[in-house]
Amino acid sequence: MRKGAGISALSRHTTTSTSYSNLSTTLSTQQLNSLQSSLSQFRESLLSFAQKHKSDIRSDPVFRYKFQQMCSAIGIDPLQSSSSSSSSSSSSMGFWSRLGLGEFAYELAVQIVDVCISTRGLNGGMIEMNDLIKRIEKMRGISKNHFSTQKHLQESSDGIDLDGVKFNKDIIREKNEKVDEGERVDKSIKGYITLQDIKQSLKLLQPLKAGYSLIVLGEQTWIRSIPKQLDMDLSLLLGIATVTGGKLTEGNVGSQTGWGEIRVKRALENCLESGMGWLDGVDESVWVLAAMEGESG
Amino acid sequence: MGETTIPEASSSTRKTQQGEIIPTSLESIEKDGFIFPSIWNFPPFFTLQPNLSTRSHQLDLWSSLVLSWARFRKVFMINVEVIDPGEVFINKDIDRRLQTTSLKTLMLHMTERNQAAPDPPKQTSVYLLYWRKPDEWGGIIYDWITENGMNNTILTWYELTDGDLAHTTEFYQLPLPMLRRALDTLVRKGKAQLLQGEGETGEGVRFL
Repeated sequence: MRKGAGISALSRHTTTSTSYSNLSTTLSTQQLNSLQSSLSQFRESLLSFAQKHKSDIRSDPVFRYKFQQMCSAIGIDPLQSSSSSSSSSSSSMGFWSRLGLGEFAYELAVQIVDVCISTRGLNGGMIEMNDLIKRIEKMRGISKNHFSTQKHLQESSDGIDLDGVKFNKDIIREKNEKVDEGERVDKSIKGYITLQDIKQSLKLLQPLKAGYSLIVLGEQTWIRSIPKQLDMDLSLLLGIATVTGGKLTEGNVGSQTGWGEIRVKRALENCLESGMGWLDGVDESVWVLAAMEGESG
Repeated sequence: MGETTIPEASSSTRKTQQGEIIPTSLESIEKDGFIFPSIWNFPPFFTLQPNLSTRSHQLDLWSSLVLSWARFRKVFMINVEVIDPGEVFINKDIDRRLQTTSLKTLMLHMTERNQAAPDPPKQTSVYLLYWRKPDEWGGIIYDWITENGMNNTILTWYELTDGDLAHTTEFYQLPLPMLRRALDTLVRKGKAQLLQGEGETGEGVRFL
């Protein structure tokens, strides 16, 4: 007797497919479970790694940057609560704060606000990133002696041992170079802060709705600490000022922008009103202090 | 003034084709031991700012600069009307100076904050600079008197500020208007008594 042609075959087929689908559900649940467990395992080991190297993360900007990169690579924002899926007791706390690093970010945020507000009278609430960093480092009492820093670097960190994985110093430095560019390359020393740190801390200020946005103009990054939007003409003036060494005249603005006389005048007046520009009564030029090199103020 | 003196371009300034000197970067510079802050090389710093919030910040910066300069150089008084009221108000490197009207505004600003005082009162030319306030001077004088056991001794004002003993004190050659204000604060506290003398410099004081 041939099998499979009767009604019973039909029901058998249903049974088979049900058990297949059951099996597949079981399998994928298992997979998901194992994936979840390995992810949480990874998180745990990341946490324990971070706890182990807490002081390095706090004090060494290069190391901290590497760590931030690792976190972002697996989709963990160290400032946010990372344990939404796991149900540990400390799940309400952010990854960073579990390490005592929340403090670091908050402290930096307070210093950013401090610098932005205290320089607002000088720059109308626009500050260039390097200037900001320099001022914060000054607040933290970091010496400007680049030579001694460099020497210290050579002696102290030939490589960082990330639980068996050795990070070559050169690789780290190369990475660092990409982030910071130019003069800020060698500052892998206690207390120095990086662009990345500032960006992290700015996130903390977002809920305040008090501005603190990043504006990129050409090669420079600016922090605007005023909620009012920077209008296009003003940002153009700022761009010109960074090239002219701070000085704006009707002549140089006109020739750079191609604007008519009235628009140039209005833009310059606007620049003064915004607090970004300073008037030089001798030749009626407008200067943007924030766009000048050196220690402004 | 001095159209023949063409300032040399320093390392932090550059000359344009028109011979105008503008700073390329802002750095603090030292002159005879006093360090001028970098903002002093910022040309608009010498123009009173039209934007009021920038202006109030600017005046605060000027006030603290004037006081630290005066403290360093031991300048007690300035006259805002004269051609050269003080080196701090003229930056030859960038060819800028604080004009008299702006300087008057600055002095009013400082007077409001008890950082300066017109002397004599009710005029706007000559000001005492309060890098030490009268009561601080009074305190310094009184402490010195007590340390040297000179309470109850009668001293002329001249002896106090220019006498042999005063040479090493901080109030050596303290100008009379400042001394008067300092002693007034002591009188008010009951720590000194003023005595009318006979001659012009004959005014005396007894510390209690």
